[in-house]
Amino acid sequence: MPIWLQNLFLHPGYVLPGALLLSVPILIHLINRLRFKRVRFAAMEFLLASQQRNRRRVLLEQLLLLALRCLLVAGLVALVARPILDPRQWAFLRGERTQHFVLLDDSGSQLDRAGEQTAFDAARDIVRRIAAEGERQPDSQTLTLVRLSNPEQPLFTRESINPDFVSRLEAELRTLKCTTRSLDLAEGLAVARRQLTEQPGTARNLHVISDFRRADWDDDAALSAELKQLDGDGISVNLVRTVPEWHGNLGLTDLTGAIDVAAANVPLRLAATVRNYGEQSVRDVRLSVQVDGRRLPVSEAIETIEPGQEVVRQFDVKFERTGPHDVQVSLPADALEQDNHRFLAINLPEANSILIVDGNPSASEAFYLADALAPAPGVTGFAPSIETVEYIRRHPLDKFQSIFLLNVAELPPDSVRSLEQFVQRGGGLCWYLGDQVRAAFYNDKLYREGQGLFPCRLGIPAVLTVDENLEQADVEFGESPMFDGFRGEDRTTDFASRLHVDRYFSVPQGWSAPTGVEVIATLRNRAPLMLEHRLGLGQVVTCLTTVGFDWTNWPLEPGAYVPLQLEIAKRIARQRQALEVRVVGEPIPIDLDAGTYGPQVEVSPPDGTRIPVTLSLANAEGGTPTEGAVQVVRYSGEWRGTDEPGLYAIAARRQDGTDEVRRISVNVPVSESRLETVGSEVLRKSLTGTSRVQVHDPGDVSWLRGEQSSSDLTDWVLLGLLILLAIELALSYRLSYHPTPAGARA
Amino acid sequence: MTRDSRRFLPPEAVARVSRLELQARTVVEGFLSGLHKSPYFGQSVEFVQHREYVPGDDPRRIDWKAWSKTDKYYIKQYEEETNLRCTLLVDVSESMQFGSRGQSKYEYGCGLAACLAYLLLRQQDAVGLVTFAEGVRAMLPIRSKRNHLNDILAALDVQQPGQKTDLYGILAKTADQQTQRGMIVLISDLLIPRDGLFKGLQMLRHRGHEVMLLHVLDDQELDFDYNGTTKFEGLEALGDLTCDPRSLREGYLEAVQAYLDDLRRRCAGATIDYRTVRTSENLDAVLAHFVNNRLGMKQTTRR
Repeated sequence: MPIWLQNLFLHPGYVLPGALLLSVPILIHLINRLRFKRVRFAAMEFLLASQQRNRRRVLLEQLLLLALRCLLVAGLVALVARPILDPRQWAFLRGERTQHFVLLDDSGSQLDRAGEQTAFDAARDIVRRIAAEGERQPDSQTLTLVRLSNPEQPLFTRESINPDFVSRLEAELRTLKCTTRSLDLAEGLAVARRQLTEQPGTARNLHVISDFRRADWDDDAALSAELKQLDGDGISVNLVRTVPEWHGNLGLTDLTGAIDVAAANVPLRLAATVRNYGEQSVRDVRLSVQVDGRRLPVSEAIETIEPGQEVVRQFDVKFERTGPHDVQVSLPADALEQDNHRFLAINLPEANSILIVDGNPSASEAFYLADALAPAPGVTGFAPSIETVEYIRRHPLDKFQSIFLLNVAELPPDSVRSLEQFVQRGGGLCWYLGDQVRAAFYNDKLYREGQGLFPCRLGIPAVLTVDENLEQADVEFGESPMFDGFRGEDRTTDFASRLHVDRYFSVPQGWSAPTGVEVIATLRNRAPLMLEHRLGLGQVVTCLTTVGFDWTNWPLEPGAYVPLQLEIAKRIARQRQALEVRVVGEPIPIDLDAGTYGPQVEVSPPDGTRIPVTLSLANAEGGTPTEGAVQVVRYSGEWRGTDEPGLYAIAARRQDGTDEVRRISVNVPVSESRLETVGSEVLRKSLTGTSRVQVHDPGDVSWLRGEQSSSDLTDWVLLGLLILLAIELALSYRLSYHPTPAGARA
Repeated sequence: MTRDSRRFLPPEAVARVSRLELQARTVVEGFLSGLHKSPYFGQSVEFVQHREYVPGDDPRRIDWKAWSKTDKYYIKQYEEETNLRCTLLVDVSESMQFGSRGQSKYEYGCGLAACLAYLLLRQQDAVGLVTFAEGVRAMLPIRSKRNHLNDILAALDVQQPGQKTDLYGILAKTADQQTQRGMIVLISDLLIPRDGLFKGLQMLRHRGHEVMLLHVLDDQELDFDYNGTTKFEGLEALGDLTCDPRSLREGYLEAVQAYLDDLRRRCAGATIDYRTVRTSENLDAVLAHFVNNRLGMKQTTRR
């Protein structure tokens, strides 16, 4: 059957037999001419005269009547064959084929389950139907199948739709998995538009199969603009919805805790956040917790979560041994399964090493601090080690989580550089001052006009005047999260009231905290006492007095002193080491020191497989190493296969043959938990002004058969048929003779 | 008279026609005393005028009372009444064979002629008959005997209709035969060239004959009620035509009407009684209507 015929009619099989029917009126006409009555007639001269005079008119009228009757038959045939008047389908006239570009949304929200079927299953079915419709007219149409998760790499590119292709497509669809990622529909549309506009002149159809969540649609001007641009480019767009309604859903939006300082046998407080994304409140929500694959006997219960409300539940987890641990928090099953689980990878070190450098050779202050941080081994998870200033320049600092510098007079330049690198890479640093501190050195080498390790320019040591009559405490703590633990029972006030400061380093007159530096505690004379700022990835806390007895009475108040030092230690702890949380689809960067590690790493996704990866060599600046220059050579790369939520492990082999395992928890993006859909009407309204963009309701596949009013001509054919019938009747009535009733003739 | 020839004079028609009298509209020259005005003065009761006696006049007609008063011989002249001499000219050509209701124009025309003959003979008038097709088929002399009707009916029965030719010759021949003024009744469908026809009719009028034209046409010829594809075969070799009659009806009726109008106009011009007769009309009714109409007409005076 000719392709053009297939493109013009829904049921082209009826067209050719119908065309034969066209000959019926002609045959009837001819038969009538042959089957005449014979009349012997006398008044032939009048008849011949009439025939002579009316020959042309009669011929024209009869031809017109015949044509009308042929048209009537053609109309009836058209009614059965159902023509499609769609200029977009007329590409065959130019010898081109209709192109179908299917953009399949495989974002996490497509896993929304209703009954046995997910929205992605429905989307797959729609792709099958599009192909099946194309197969009805083999090799007249092409199909491009693109996933939203990877629009640049189509699964099929302009494949001619025929039985062979349909079977390959079926095989592909069967194995196709929906990601749990949050994807940008506008990006996919942009790619589709770019690819479609590369073939101007063809009949281009873009089918966007998605669930059209409100989260994607709201305030997304790019999406509307992209659709309007597609419309302007003459591409017909079908927005095919896969989800009929908004299903209620609970999502775990966060799982966090003070992982930075977690250690074996130290209870670790974790906080899970549950959000109700549905329209109705949910009661009696039970959170189950799995640690290292074992479910904890207790479950956390939440009585009620109102729509849109977020509830945080805290619970303690205790790990008995060091090393990697997995925590998984789960919610009861609901419409969207993926966001019912959240993972946390914890790598418990032997201890969290802290370097304490005391400028005073006696290191008396350092001992107080070390005692505060680790009263006994394994209690706090910190392992402080007290070293001299020389240690900084002689040893690598990367193994330390944080460094406390107490009353250090000055540092050699290479130590300053080493410290700066340490902080830049995420290490924590805490300054305590004292009588040995040389303000000029601090200002010149450490402050460096706001670029260095020190947050402010130092003045001279000052004495805080004692005023017995004044009830105000010496120290006033700010709103920093460090002091959160003291607030519950108003302990800040209590602590502050018993904490005295005799001397401190003043800041220059008129100093005010620049951007990036926060004063977290002040003295009663409003002079800054504690400051916090970031440098690179690391956190720096600066205390402008001593940590020991010299200038304060802090060690004498262990109830406040110990928690404060622990909080500071937690605050500045290197975060990379503990809590590495990513969302699905986000690549995991791998960056290893070539001096310590080999180029081979092994990645273990949540499914338990182990995939070897060889890293490429790059210098610290990211370029290839060049000869003659001192380079910090590193292996770098990234792991992109993070589509599955769960725990990923990257094992790097050190030069000495031992392995270092880095664990990363990959969770679903919270944006995909919002299952609220945009109504078809809202969609249509937002697309006002576009003529080629159609919205199709879930389950409605009639548009695939061209049964839309825009392309189907049934009504028009019916109307035309009626008009033709009326004209035919009128004409044949006019041409026929109607005897007047008996008696009417005078 | 055969049984067949009797069919032209159905008893019921005879019964109705018998009460009628056909009046001559103009004076006629007869040989019997009758109903009709004669161009001659004769013996009658109705005085017309006095005329001076000239030698040769019958001396019995001299009005002696007038002589006694004027001393001159006058003759009294009286109205003479005579019988009508009527010639029936009946078309028996092939075209008259057409008929759509079981009765052809020929049959109808013959019926009409028979009724007229019966009517005339009954009132002592003399009737002659001429049947014609391609030429004169039969010619019966004018007689007033009652049994002349049988001859007329027999002469009307024509077995082989022929084609019509120009009517002028036939009319001229008839005119030559009819030396006395009388009445000529032409019964035909007149599907012939009109010029020759009227030329002949004019000649008859000039000779003082009263001419009556009974134009017999079939209903279908007047109404053309045909439906469906039809092949019309001309009865007098006018050719065939296969057509959808519905599409030609309008033009046909126009042509027929124009033809009839032309006939009426020409007849009126030549003082010829003309009437279109549908074969569906009852013979007696047509005749009665026609005769009654004539009675109401103003009679022409003698020459």
